[in-house]
Amino acid sequence: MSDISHQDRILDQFSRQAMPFSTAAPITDANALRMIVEAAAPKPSDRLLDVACGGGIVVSAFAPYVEHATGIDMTPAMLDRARQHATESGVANVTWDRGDVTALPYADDAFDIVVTRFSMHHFLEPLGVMREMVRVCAPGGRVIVIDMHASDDPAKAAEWNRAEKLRDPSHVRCLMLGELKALFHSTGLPAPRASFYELRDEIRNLLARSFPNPGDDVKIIEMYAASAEDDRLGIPVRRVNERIEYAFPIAILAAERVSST
Amino acid sequence: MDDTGEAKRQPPIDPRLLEVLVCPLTKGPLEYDREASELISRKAGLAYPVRDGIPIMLPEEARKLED
Repeated sequence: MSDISHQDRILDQFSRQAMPFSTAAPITDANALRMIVEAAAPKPSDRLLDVACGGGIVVSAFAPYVEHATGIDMTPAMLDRARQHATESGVANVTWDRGDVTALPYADDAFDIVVTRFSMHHFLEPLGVMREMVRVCAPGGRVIVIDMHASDDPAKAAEWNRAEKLRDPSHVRCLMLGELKALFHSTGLPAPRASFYELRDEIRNLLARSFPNPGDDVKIIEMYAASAEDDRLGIPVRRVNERIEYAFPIAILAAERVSST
Repeated sequence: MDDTGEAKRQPPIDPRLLEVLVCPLTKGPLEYDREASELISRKAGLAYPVRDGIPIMLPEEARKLED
């Protein structure tokens, strides 16, 4: 069962983030969504599930290419936003459930595409969620994980995770690329195909749509400013006059669930 | 926004969603009680509420079945 206090932190953060996050330009970036849809190679007969769907951006992006798309999330405010976004996008073949992604309320093999975006770093047990995703994915279906990945240098990875946890207290840990890939291996999937992009913005824009504890925003800006000099966060950061620009490295990992015979 | 009016115009639950839903605890089948707007897991002894067309598949939000 999930850790209750972690669940409370998720609910608190995502209820507040529901509007700023689901409308922020870097998150809805049309090119990134196109890359994700391409990685899944959707067919018109496919049923899709988005695990921890948040504001429903991925569900609505896939809806025109599949028979049906379902989003599941823990936060009611996100599901309200998701439903509204679907209406605005003019897609009708979508449904929503509220639930815990560590115990998905779906039958085995229920979906042809099972996707999760920007969620693994919020889970206390990413592998448990991945197991559930694979369970509900039919043989021949595709499992797709999209997330930020931390530096392969453990000290830099730890420092970036510290900054992210200050920015969003519900953050658990950004995995390294090798760890994200290992989720596929550990659940019996073949090695995933990988594609990459970056989420770029200025640190104050990111803070403007985040809800750190009072005073922590200053610490975060200091960490990013220092990283522009010494790369302590292990992600691209540069200073342009007063601006501190960063790029979060994102991986799209996709694998087909091989038919078990 | 008028949520109650919206809910009345919508079917209580999408039949396509119902086909694949199971109890998150037992992974067993669910019975849909349209009147009560609940999804019943006999095995778990729980009734999951459906609110505004969205099934709430959380055991802690479910009603315990009596008998």
